[in-house]
Amino acid sequence: MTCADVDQLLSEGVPAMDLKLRPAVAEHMKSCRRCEDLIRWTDAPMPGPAVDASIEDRIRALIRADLRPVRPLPSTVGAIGAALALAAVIALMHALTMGVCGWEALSLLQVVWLGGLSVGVIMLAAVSLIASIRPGTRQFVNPLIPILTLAVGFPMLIGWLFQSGPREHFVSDGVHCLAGGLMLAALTAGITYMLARRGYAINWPRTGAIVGVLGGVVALLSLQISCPDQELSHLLVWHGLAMLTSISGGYLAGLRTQIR
Amino acid sequence: MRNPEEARESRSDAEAASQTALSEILVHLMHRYQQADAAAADELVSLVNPILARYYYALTGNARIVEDLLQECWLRIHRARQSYRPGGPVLPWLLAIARHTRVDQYRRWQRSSGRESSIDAIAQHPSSDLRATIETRLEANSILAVMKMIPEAQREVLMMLKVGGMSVEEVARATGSSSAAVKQKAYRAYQAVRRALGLKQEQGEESDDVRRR
Repeated sequence: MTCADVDQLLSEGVPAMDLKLRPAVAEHMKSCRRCEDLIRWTDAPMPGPAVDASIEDRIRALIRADLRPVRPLPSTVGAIGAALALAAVIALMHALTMGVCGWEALSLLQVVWLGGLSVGVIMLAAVSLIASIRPGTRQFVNPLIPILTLAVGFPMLIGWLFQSGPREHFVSDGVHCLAGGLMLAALTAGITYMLARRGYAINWPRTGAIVGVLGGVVALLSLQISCPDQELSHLLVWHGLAMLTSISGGYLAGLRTQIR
Repeated sequence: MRNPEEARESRSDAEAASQTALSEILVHLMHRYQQADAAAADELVSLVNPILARYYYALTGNARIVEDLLQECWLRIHRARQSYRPGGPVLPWLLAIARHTRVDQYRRWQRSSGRESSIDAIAQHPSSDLRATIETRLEANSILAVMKMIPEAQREVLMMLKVGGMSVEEVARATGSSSAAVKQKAYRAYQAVRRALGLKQEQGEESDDVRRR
């Protein structure tokens, strides 16, 4: 047993009291004054400040003044279900109003891959979002994963699945798609933000970016169903721009919330 | 009569049992607090406030700031009570909010430091003379004196392990980092404590020499 071993055991969360009972540590402590001091220091109770007694009464009064039952946030599975349902409702409403020209032009392979990407990103974003608004929760999905999956996966899939075609009305059609996409993204992100506000976000820019990912993926999904222009550059530039604007907008909105 | 080893062992078991009991009580109280039980809320404040106060005190070393932080923190805890998952560990949830409150307070203080009087200046205000005296006495305590010699990020991890009696996994949840990162910070913190204790010892020996001379 060495001093470094003692540090190692303490840093692994072994209580100092338990450590003293280990024969190897007890033997080492006999010959090492520094380890003995360290373990004694670690085992000693931490003194508290002299907090005014009225503070605790004030806190109790503050809580009692606004005490009403609250419903806990949904479970992770519930959050995934809610995110998928929200995406389905918005995409369906968009399809009902704007038509399904894009859907009719898609091949089975394109439907499977783009559908898989969308569902996967929605699920990852929902898991990440619920963890980011619930303090002290283990983050199973790093927020960067849904962001990168969408921001990198979408252009790669489009490049692989779609062909270049004639570029008539590139800008006018594109701006139309971009505006529609941003509207859908804002609607989805707005609803998600209202739900996210029920929680307690430790890191608002990160939470905002995840909300933006949800907005972006719903916008892509809806545009893919209704947009008649299934041409490579149009999809990459205009649909992709709607998605990226949604993510960066979410991040900036989160940053603003945090600063305030 | 029991030998010292047995006594130590039983104390260790009792501490572990009381830690588990505290966790279970907190889970139960949080559940009742979410259902608007005023008595549970009062009991939760009584149990948790000393933990939060010690945590903030180790980080700030100023009782007046601790009082402000406690009020702000409880306001946030109350507003965020629906974000607690019933049945989950309470201390990581509470300390994550406590930590965030402190970070926000620091940011606000940084922004307003140009316009307002500094925290040090407030602490030296004549009306806080009594508190200053109490603080000075507490600072004399070697635990706090050593704590102040440790970098803040490491001190925070050490405080959670020491004051809250939390596991490495729970500290990782509260600080939003991995267990490996917590272990590394704790390892460095214990090395810093070791150095600080050594330094204090040397200082003590030097002052003894001066007195003898």
